[in-house]
Amino acid sequence: MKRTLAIARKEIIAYFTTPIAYVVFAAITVLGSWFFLSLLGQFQRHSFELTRMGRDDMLAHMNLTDQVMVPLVMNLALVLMMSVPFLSMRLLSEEKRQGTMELLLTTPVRPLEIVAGKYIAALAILTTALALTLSYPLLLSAFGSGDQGAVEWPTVLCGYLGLFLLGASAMAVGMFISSLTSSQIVAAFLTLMLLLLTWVVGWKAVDVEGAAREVLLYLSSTQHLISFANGMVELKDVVYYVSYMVLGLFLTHRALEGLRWAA
Amino acid sequence: MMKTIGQVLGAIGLVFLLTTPVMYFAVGAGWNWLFTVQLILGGAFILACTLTNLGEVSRVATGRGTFYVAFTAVSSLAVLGLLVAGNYLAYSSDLRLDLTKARIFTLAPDSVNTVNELPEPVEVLAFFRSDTPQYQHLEELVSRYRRAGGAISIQAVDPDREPEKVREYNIHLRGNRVVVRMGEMSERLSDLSEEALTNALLRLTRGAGKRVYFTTGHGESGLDDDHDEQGLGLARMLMENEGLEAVPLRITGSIPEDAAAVVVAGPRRAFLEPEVELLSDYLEGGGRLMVLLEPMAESGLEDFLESWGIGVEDDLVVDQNQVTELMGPFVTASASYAQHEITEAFDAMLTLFPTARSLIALDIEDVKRPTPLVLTGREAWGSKAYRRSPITYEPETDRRGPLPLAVVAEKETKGGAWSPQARLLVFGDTDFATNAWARQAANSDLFLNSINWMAGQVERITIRPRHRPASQIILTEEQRTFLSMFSINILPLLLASMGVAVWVLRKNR
Repeated sequence: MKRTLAIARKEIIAYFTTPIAYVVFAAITVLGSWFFLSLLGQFQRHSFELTRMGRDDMLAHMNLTDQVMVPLVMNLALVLMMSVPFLSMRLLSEEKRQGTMELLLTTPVRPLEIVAGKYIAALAILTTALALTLSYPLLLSAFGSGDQGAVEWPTVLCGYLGLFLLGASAMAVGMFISSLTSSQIVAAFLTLMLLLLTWVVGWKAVDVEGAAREVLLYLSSTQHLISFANGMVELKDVVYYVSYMVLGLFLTHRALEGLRWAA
Repeated sequence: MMKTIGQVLGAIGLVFLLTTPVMYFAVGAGWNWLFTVQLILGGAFILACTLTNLGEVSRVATGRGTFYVAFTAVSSLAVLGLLVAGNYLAYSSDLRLDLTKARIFTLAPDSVNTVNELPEPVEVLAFFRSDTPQYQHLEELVSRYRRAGGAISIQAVDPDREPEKVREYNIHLRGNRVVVRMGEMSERLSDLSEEALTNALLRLTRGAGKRVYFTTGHGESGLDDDHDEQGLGLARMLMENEGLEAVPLRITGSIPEDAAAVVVAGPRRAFLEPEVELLSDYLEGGGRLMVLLEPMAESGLEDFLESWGIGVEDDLVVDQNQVTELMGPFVTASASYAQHEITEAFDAMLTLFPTARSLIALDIEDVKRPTPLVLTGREAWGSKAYRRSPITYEPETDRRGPLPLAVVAEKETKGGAWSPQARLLVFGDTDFATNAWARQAANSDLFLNSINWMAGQVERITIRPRHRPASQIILTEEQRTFLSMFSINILPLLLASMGVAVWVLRKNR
């Protein structure tokens, strides 16, 4: 455990002393803000129209949670999937490139501890990235108004839980790919492709019926975010994301074991 | 040389084999002979690789790497299997937690009770493509009922791909597109809300064996007449498809207690005084009476109908427009309807009425003015002197269109024996519902909607749609500027500056 935390600490320090994490964070906030501002603009235009037409009945249905936060969470998922490969790419391939992997494997540190330590660091980075985007609901809370608050926080936090699980599963996939190659570019690119594939696989569902449709929709990673974004935790969604994590971590572990065997 | 070629072939073979299952799904057109070729080629390449690299293969197979490879392969498959099983269990469990404040994704208790009292499994047929927001909303809604323990399933029907089903269920793409089926019976959803679905389920549960009585003995059109042009055999069949039983009724003692509605379809001889009395009592007790009249025939019901605010003119409607030109001047085409549940989805659909008489919605004291449901076009007129030939428009006596061809009256009858709301619907024509004309234009829709509305229950469950509490954001110009500046400029700029700082510091170290 101690060794795991030591690896995690070293990795986190490495993240914050190289520019890549900051670049990715900046990119996430630029894209996130773009989505946020355009959703907010739509919301304002819509309520302005309704006020002008005197539709109080429809104004009663307007709320910042449904019209801004729920779609924003879905948009942030896209931003997250584009960014995670660049956060996960260096996890193991950097060690391979610098030749420190062999060194690490000959120490008494077990591969399991390496995997756990690196993954904890990756989750810390992910949490930081998500925390930055929490500024959007906070801004809504500060400037918006409503009888029971401007945004419904349980729903917003539920959406962020979903985003965290999505990001964590993407990180696990990214870490596995990063264990296969010593090139960060290759690791990032392959991870991105794989994540995009899990995203678009559901698009095929409209062409098929019955069980095949269910399977395709189930495989789609964003499909499992919808309930979270709306304020529901469904067992199947949690199990889906956790499965990706388990698979990614397991395969990474096997890859490290393989390196040890080959050494 | 042979070795290298073998290795290249081996790698290609591996790609061929591994991509086959993925591509099978991606192409999505079933098994193709090209996939078979792909598999055979993949296997052959790997075989070639093995044969040309026998030395390496035997070295790996006997080396210490073998244990690792075998263990990894077996354990990976085991983990994958466990994960798939776990996901399947989670998928089937339907377990969920509604974290919203108003519990907007949780069914109302009335809905839970209704779905648990279903006598038979229910299927929801949604005439939407499965990727439309409407279908996805409906799918989620139905899953809530299933989670509550109901035997209910949903299926999407793509109207473009299955036009025969659209015809079979008589779906109008601008009207109600969701059919709820239980056994032989079916109901339409008025909208995609929980309230609509629960009420449809309620109607199905209660509506089993709903009976509509058709009076006999006054020369009415026959229910069992399948071949005669004047018969109502086709109408009876259409009603049965909707779960309504059409039963002939000879008015003697009283109207049966289980009557969902009573229909008088085209009487040619007048009703006797006591018979009218019975019908009047029935209506006062919350009955549902639908009367289809014909011109040139005394029904004996005229005074009774007038007391309900529906006047019957002794005329023959003449309609000369382009639509009816081919069918003659006595077939009235109508495309103008009142705002009413019956004609909700009609828009400008045509209905045809051969030889009709016109009606009047009268203003009578103590009676709510009835609603003209169907109107003729402006070109039509009601000829009073229809026995003369040729028929011409007489400005002094004849009324000009639009003339009401169907009028509906309603009255609250609290504590009535049949229902708390009496409904009276009168048509100035019978032919539109007969074997010869029911399939023409939108006639069958008009007839079935009318019957369904007549036989419909008034009691319905009201479920207030739950939604999140309203909120607003009103920004001053400065606030708006700050919001934009902060989120799209200051925040990323800070982060980027930190990145640049770290980069410069590392470079100089």
